[in-house]
Amino acid sequence: MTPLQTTLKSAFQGIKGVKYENPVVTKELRTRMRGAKAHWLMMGYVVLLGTCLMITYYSQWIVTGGQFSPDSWVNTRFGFRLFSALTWCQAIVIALIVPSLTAGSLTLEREQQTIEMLSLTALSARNIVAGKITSAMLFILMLLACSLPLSGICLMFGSISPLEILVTYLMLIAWAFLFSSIGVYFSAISKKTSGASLAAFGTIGMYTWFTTGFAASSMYGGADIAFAGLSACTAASLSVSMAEVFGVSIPVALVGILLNVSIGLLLLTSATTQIPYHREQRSVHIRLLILGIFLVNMFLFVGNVFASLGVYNTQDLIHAAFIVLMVSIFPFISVFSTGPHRKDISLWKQLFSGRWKIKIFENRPVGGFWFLIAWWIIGCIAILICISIAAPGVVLTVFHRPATQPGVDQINELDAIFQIAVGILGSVIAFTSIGLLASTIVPNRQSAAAILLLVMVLAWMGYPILAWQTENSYDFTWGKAHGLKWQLTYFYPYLPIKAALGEWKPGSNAPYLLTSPKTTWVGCAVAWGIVSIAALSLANLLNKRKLGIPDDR
Amino acid sequence: MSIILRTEHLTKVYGPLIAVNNLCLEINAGDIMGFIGPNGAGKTTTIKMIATLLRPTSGTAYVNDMNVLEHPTEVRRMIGYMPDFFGVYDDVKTWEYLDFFAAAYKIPSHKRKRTIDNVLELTDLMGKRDDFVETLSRGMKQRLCLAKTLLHDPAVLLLDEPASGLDPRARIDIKELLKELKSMGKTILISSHILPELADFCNKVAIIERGELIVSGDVAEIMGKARGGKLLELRLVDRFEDAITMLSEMQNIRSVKQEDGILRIQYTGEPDQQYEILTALVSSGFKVQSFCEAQIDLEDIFMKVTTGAVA
Repeated sequence: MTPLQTTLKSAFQGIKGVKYENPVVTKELRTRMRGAKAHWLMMGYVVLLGTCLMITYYSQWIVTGGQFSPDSWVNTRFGFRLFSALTWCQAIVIALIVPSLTAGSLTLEREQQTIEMLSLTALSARNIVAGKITSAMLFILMLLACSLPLSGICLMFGSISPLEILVTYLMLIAWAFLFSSIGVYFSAISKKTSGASLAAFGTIGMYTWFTTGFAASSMYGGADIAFAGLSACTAASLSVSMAEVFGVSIPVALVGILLNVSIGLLLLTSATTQIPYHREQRSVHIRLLILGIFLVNMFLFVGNVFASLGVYNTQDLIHAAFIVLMVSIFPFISVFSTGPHRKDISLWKQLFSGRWKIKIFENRPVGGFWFLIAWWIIGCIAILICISIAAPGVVLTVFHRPATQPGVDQINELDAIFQIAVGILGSVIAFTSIGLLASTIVPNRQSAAAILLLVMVLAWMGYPILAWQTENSYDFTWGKAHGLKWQLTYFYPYLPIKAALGEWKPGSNAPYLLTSPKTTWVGCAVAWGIVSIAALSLANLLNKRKLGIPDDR
Repeated sequence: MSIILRTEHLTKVYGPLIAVNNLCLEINAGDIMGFIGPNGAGKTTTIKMIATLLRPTSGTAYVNDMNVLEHPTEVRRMIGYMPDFFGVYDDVKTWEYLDFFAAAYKIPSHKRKRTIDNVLELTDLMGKRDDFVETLSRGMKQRLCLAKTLLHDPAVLLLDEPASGLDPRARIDIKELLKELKSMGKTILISSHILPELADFCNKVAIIERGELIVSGDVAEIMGKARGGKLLELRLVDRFEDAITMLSEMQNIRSVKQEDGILRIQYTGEPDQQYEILTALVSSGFKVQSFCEAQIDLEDIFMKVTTGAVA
């Protein structure tokens, strides 16, 4: 045997000696692949992708009037179009499938009461989490492998290279890894699979929406595309693009893959600490994670608009940023402000005594109350910072129409952000207070959340009609004709944004307090402040009566 | 005999509730200790703390001189824990379930098949080797869980209500299995509500109420303490009243009661002098049918100590 042969043999034996065995992977795959379910899923996946390709092919057929030829394929980048559609479809399907594969990974162990026995084996928390994520990823890899023949068809039409296909698949794998990690993370911090699934779907949906929107507007806005690789939906278009990061030219795909994998690893590391279920720590984890996702999204959103300032102006930027903040925070009000209160102490004391730092993360509606306020303030500061970086020292030209003298006015962006922040904070506190009140009145959390959602829908759907009428019927005739008071317009949660940015132009006959943009935000804050005080006082009173808590507590 | 399991001032507090308070226990190697207490007494909490699943508020426990707080991994290798409420993976076969746990306990793959067959044999589940776990009855699932607990050959078994919810036949099966484990020299801490069943094979008992250890030690010793001596049972053909009068006047006899044709004698003397009672009765012409020590009744001890008769 030659020295080369000896070296090769020993190296081969060395490789053979390395044996990775994770029983969790074996068990998960054994149960997942048993029966026809997994095979039906694979077939459905391929059929869906095939249908997507056929639709794209047919639409192109119509565009070219059926004049297909190899030249037209190359000229229209037909192969690329097909592969791009395939990638979009795969990225969305992965985002939809992954939570159902991973969100129950640890909660099911809790629900089946097997987690304790599993914890007592020689498997470490890291082994368990690694087993869960590996089994999910192996299944996803199998689905991706099923789509390879379809990618091969795209390749045959030309205008896309094998390298682009390879990099796109790597981006899809990183995308799937991040989403699997999100699923496992929520599974680790939740008690029930339903809760973990909901949180995972929400987070993945939010991430997909923001990163894809960011990537699309970066590409079509001609702006910096350094972070566009975070979304796998647009992976086909960006697979071989380069971007400048700190003056260094690096592939966009690499930035996306590295960031997605890093976030995934961070979440998995955190999940390993949560295998023994710590209920008391759950609210801290959920709140910090939601805040983190929100801040990243805000950065991506404002940063993206900043990158393509040619498309938007600063006024629109502030407007859009506050819409993002409101859309992010309002659905969570019903989640955080409802639930059982402490039974040994009055609601008032729960809210206002003790250390606020602890209160923010307390696993009670009162903790949610302070967290939502903190989130709003942090969100407003984030908007201010992002816009200050995007457009430093900007003076907004807003259309102010005082009661007597219509005209154009100027306002500093700091003032505008402050007015909007305070104006809407009132409604955030009020809705949260109504959540606390609803939790006092009805016994279970779902019912309380439903009541609060109903109130929010009324506020968002009812008052806009009133506000629209106030704005368009300058003398408020419509409102008067229907026996309504103009003050009710202040309850429109969107009003502070319109007012501060000069988009609120009620008639000259309307009262000064309502017409002046400089006072509208105060009116909104006061109106919702009154609702807040009323709701909190009533909640405190009812809670005390219900529990028979003496006055001194 | 060496102490294999001991707790030192083990305490667990949940907010205002003291679940376990200052619990000190000692179990020798080979002992079978019955851990008795009403619902909510703190039995499961104590067992979970010993099993490293719960962190004590204060105090600690040692398994084979290994501190459960400092060396949880080593402790887990030495214990087999069977929870009161446990789940099984329904969508796997019996052997797959055990194979999963055998791998999780890092039993080498070449030894796994033999180990699995051994525990299946021991728990009388060999016939169900290829059946899906979901098709097993509750009693079989209980035995399967016990089989899983035995896979890594632990020295100490912590069994929390192993016979709860089982029908009489399944209970007998579990009891037989526990006797088998006793003969294998395992140290067992077993909690149960079904007290007479523990009496058969427990040599030690610990009684806990509201988180406090009321009494612990040798079953016979505690029995004597609880009753203020031994309980002897005497069957006569006739002359019950004369016998009661005679026995009541004898030394070391606290009381004599007639129940269902049996005389129950509270004896406080030394065991090796019990024969004197029989000798006296026979020499006085009484027709003795039987004379024996009454069966140990844990239920009786439990009722006595938890009402403050012994403390």
